[in-house]
Amino acid sequence: MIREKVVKVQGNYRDPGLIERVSANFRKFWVDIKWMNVNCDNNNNCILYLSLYDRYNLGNVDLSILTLSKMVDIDYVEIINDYNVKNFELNYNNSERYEWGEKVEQSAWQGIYRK
Amino acid sequence: MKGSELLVESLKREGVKNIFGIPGLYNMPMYDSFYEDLANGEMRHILMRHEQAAAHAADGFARATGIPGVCTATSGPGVTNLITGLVTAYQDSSPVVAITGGVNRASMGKLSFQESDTLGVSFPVSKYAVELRDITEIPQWIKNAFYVASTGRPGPVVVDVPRDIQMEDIDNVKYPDSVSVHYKPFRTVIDKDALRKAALNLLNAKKPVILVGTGVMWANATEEIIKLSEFLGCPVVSTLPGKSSMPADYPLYIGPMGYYGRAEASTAALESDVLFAVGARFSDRTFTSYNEMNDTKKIFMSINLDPTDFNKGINPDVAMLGNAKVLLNELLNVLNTLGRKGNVYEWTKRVNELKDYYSQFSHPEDDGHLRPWKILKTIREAVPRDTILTTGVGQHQMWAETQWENLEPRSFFSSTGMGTMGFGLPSAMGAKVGKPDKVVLDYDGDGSFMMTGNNLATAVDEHIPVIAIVNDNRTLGLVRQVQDMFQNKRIVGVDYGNSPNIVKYAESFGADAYDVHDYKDLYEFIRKAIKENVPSVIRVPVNKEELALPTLPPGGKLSEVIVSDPRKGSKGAGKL
Repeated sequence: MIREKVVKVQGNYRDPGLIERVSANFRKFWVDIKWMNVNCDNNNNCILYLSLYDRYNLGNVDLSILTLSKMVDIDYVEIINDYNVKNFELNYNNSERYEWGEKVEQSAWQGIYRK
Repeated sequence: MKGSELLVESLKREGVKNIFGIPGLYNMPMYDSFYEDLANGEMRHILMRHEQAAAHAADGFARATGIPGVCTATSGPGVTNLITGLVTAYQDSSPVVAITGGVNRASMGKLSFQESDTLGVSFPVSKYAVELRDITEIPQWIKNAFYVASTGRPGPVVVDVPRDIQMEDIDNVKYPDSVSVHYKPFRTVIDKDALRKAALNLLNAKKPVILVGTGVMWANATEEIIKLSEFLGCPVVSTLPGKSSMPADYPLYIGPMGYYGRAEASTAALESDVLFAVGARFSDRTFTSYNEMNDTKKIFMSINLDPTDFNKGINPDVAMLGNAKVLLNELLNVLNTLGRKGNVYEWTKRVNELKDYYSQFSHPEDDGHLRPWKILKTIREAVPRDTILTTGVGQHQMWAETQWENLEPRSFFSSTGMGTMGFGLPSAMGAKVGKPDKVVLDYDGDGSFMMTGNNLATAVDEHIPVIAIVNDNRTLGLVRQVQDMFQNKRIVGVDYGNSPNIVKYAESFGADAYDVHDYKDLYEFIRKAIKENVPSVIRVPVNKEELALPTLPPGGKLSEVIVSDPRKGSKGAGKL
């Protein structure tokens, strides 16, 4: 049984609850999400790519995909059989950091993660 | 026009006449807007005593009428109280629309007063939940909500309307002509090959069984099931909720199968060579062991609206997707074309043998206490044929599963998927509001009844004359019997004391109340309660040692059914 699958999901974006419901769908089946990429356009069409992993070998991946496909706001779920993933990379020069509700002064962490 | 007026007008355009609910700060504008509608009788508001009961009442209304029931609650505790009722409707595929009042948009996410993240708590327990962002969305989303709730596999939909949107004004309202939502109801596929294959399988079967689920009730397909069964001479079994699809006096109906189902029904399903499930998912309550069923090597066939149900535990050899009524009519056409009938004489004999054998266990003799089977028989004799009976959850529910004879479709409602104690009384109230001309009974247990019994006050205030028949054994009987039978008699945390006196409790709400001492009492009190036409409670004392049988050991297979009281020296196993 294949324990890892990459899927493309097209859904209608109304609010971030879309992502919440997609994630919750897999959580309920004990299917892990190894990574996710989400992009939404100005017409509320969202494309989500997810890598699903059956960590506990329960065989629920296919059923979880079918179940997601019948959720309100989901247009389709596509299982991608042949794919090549490049690492997500975001280049930036400036940022602010918050921890436990507080802003952390730049001097405390500056330079550690900057790319 | 205010947003709240637009909300009420949109509900009226969907045909809403009854709303079960409780007002609070955040849904108050809507209440203000239906003030005149209540005064002139165009709408009715039923003020429940707890939001859980409001959702159950809307659910009972929906099951009895076939159209969505509506409930409302305010944000915060109102919404969270609704949740148990919503998930109950979700599990049993009942169309409920919940209108919730949300905190003002500017206050959201700030832990404001009675803020409970309505969407967050509603998503997992509903078919859909939506929070309106703008006053112009109201009419479209009310239309969408009713469409989503009542099509496909029915289910609850939550529409959360922030208070400030309800308070806003709008000119030039545009009401939608059609729905606009990313959602498709499931398809009905007329697959000629599958229909022919199904017909041939049924005609060639030596031991066919039709398994009926709630999908038959929602599709109003009872007549087609009976036509098919008669054509083939084929026995019918049901799931527990599928009981509501079949008249108990139909001669080829054996009864519900499954965990606490009738042993003859489960055995017939096990022994069958073709099992044809219609509108039934192969749930773990009906087929307690998929391996046991798959090991029989029988042919499984299924008509189901939801294609994902073909992928849970049992993969049917013939899967037909769609509405049960449409597909059964197509199948009957194919069978007529093939021009021959089934030959199941030997199988009929065997099924009758099973019925005869197991009937000895289902009617245990008097032991000085009132026996559940005889209680239910007495109730049946006292009420009209089309009486609606709801149940709570517990032993009494299992007794009703095997012993209550509902004689018409849509007349037996129980929380079967979620197993929600407290469902009985409020769902009966909802059913009575939807079907005021029918006698509506809540057959309950004391543990379950007490969870929502305060809604008797609503039944009295609103004159909703339901009759609650409460099996009073002062214990959580179903848990107790598992402890007794399978946990070395370590009875713990289940026995209640004497409080309250159920009769006095009912009287304190202004309901009529009766204390039964024998079957004659029970019959006469029911007749009197029907005649008086006021909310009534009939307390029936039951021995706490009484078991709900048949049963299985925890995690057991259907073939391990226990049909008689093992504490009385019987080996318990009831295999014929």
